[in-house]
Amino acid sequence: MEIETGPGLRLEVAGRELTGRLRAAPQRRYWGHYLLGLPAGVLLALLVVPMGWTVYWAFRADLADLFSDPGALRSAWHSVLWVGIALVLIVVGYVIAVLSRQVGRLWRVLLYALILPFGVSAVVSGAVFRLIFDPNPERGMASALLGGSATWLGPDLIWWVLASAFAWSWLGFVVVLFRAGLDTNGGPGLRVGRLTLPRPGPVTAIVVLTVLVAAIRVFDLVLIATPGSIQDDVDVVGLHWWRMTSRDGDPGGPALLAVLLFLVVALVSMAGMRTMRRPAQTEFLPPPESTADRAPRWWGWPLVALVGLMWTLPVVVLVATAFHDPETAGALGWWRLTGIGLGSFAEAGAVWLLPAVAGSLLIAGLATALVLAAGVPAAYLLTWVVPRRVSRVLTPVFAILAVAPVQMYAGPLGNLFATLGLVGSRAPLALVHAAAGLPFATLVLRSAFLAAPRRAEDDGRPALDEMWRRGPYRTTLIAVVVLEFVLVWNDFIVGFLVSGPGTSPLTLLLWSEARQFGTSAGTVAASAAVSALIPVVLLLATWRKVVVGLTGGIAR
Amino acid sequence: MRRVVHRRTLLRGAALVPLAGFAAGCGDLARTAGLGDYVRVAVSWSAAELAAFSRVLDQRGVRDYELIPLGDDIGAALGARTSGRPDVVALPQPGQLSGAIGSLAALPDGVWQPEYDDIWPPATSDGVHYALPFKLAHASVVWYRKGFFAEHDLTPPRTWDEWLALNEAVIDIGGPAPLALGGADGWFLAQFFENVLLRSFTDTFRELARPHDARLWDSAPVRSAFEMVADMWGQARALSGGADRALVQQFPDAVLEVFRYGRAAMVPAPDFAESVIRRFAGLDDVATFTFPSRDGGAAPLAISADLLVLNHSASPAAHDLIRYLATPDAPVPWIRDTGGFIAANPRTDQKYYSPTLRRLERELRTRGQEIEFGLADRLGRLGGSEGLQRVLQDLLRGVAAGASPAAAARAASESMVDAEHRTG
Repeated sequence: MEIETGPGLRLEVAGRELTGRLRAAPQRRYWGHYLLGLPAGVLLALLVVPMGWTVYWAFRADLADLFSDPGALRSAWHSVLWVGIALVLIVVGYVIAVLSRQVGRLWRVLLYALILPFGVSAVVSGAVFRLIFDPNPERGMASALLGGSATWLGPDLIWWVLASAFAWSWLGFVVVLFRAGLDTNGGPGLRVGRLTLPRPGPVTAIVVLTVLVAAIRVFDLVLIATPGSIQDDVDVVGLHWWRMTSRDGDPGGPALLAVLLFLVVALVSMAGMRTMRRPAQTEFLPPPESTADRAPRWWGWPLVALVGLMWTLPVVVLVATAFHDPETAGALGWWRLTGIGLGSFAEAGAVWLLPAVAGSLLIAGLATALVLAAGVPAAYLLTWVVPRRVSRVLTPVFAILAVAPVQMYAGPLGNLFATLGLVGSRAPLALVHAAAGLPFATLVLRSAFLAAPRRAEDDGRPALDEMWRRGPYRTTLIAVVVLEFVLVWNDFIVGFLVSGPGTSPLTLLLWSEARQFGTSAGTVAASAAVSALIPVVLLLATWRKVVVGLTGGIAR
Repeated sequence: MRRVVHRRTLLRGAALVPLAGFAAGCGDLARTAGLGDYVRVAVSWSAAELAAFSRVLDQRGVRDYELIPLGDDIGAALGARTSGRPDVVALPQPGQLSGAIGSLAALPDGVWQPEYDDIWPPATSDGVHYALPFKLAHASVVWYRKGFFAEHDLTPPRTWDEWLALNEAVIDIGGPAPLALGGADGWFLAQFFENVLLRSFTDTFRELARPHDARLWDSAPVRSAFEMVADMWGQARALSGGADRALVQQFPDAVLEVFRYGRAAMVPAPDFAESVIRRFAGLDDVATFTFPSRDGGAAPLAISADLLVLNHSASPAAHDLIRYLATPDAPVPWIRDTGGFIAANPRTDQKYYSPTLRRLERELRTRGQEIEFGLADRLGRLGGSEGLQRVLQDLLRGVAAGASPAAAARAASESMVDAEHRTG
């Protein structure tokens, strides 16, 4: 039949053939389906066109200028250090995941302690660790315990603080995914010397990819946790890019830096993709026996207690600081029993907290709806409609777009926002968020579609509305919704670089509140706690589905 | 059959929803959500000062504003990237005005007071004013603990040598360190250096504030000023917590070192330190002296100011807001409830100031007293984190690592010459 969707636009929708076999009818007759890709196409153009501009600017810049800039070289070296930190974290996470299979029912305790910080934004985790390592011995726990003998946050120790904050956020992700992989993938072990290590299977690629990319893209964590005088000591490529753009009139230098950063990230992700590409064809061995009810080994209790305490402590510090009056929290540590109350919440709420929460809700909600509305049809197309050779090309393109640093498109998009007078408006920013989140969401959806068990009466391709009705798909949709909402809610860098600090989502305002960090500890902690509450609750409530969705259904 | 229809509807819907979202995104969805259409006021203040300013605006009785705390990025609010927004900017650096006049609206009639002519900024050649002084700050202040000085028979210094001797005396007492510094805030260290330069080498200070040869930074007076700074900061046990801690400590924390924890005797900080002291320690033990000059002679005072400017596209409501903020009573909630505020408007009632601030306010307005904006506020990028502020943080690092004052001063002078070439 024909339907008219707009003036002059007639669509031929062939309802019957939709349930037909893919090879039974020529592809040509389904051209109408490709319209499903239109929303995704429009959103992706928001990324791809500005990225083209950046590449164009980069070509006009001189590589020699960049390599003669000592600041750029130092920031590149620091980004390499971050990759090292990420690799160490992955190994530690793997070891904990392997050991966790021996602690029986204690795993639950460990799991919730580890997964909680994953919902917390980098700005909040940076703020929490700056509170813990405050150099003032009256206020900072680490300085109080060590009697002020070490200058935390100083040039020598700042890397420990930053690495701890990063580990606090990401270890849970690493452990939970590795554990899920280990539980389903009882394949032959990996021999290292006399040890035989179990293989976590295909999740390894997802873990390595996500954590490495996160490490290379570190930005807001450094910005909030480091005192102004120490910023150069921990400058990373992303931050150096920002300093260059706010400093130089010429966009060439920063564009070149962004392209180099992008190339590195793209190479890393391509390497990861090689193992991630065939989730449906992986042969699964029957999962090993459940270990959940087994009695823990003798070292189970101390291990779980140690990791659990270490990972819960920052939450305790944050909440305890928030529940002190601003006068007490700004001058004395969170462990003091005086000045407890809701004063900090009241003070933050009196000025900007509520409008910021509303603004963040609007942006995150809108972006999530857009990602879902564009991503589901796009993944549907990619999985069941487009010819195999096309999807083979498109999938890596999506993967590369998924890891593209914000710096690749922030410059031209920022200019566009300024020209259109959109700086500080929320809805267009949500659109950019949706574009940035779409590639990853589409990939997750696609691998879930591929991995989902098929019903007998299906000929391979379900109807689009079944995405929601049928269990396996619904799980993935929930995972995508949760992840996208949390990502946008916790975002700092997209809002900051594209729309400027005036857009007033929560993280940006939190950062500005933290300018006089120590004496603002109360209001900073109160706003950080409010900003962390929503994503953490959401993630704790849905983490199972998120893990299943992220691993493309292998860890069911 | 029913299933097919359903699916078709869904197909169509799925294609259209994002397009509808796009269309809505282009209109201002924020406004429909009840979040838009306010006068957007960009400020550099944060924390208690931000709260105080919001009380100032609330006193008007209409909540038709949205505060955008931009901190150090306040200059971006005037940049080309933010055409049309925000409506009002409270600008702490008059140096950023010169390039932005074209994007500003003239001040409403009747808000300009003749006394503002002494402050800044001059009108354009056709007599139009674009920036309204709102908050004035006295930056040549050293705060100290009255009780501690009385107990040990110490007197505030008038010359640089007296100050060095006083520091020695405090160290000899064996209790608190003489000084607390907020080295994590570049402007704090820059202001210390500017005070040395302004009050001891006034002519050189003024030459540097005008267009000049970059090599002026390597002249004898500038080097002497750097050396005086390095000499005082580098004195053993002069800084509370040591130079390492001073480097990562922010301005309010330096104030707490003196008045809350008693670990230092003095802190060189602008008048707005009063709000920190008031909140965290109380004003009972507070006294100030003027930043000493080399020979104790008369010299200009360093000031800073926050200037209100209107974006050229600002709404009538924004003009009303400026008119309101220009009235003498507008800043009263800030002065009365938070402190650390000197109104630029000379008609603001004196009775709301604390005794200390009233004295500082009078000192600024004394007839014949010269005042000068600090260099960091006037030199643009050269005065910021790529120039003077970073150079002084490096100087502090240098003396922490044991460099001699002469060597630290030489390095600082050379870095400033480089920075001027780089940012020029």
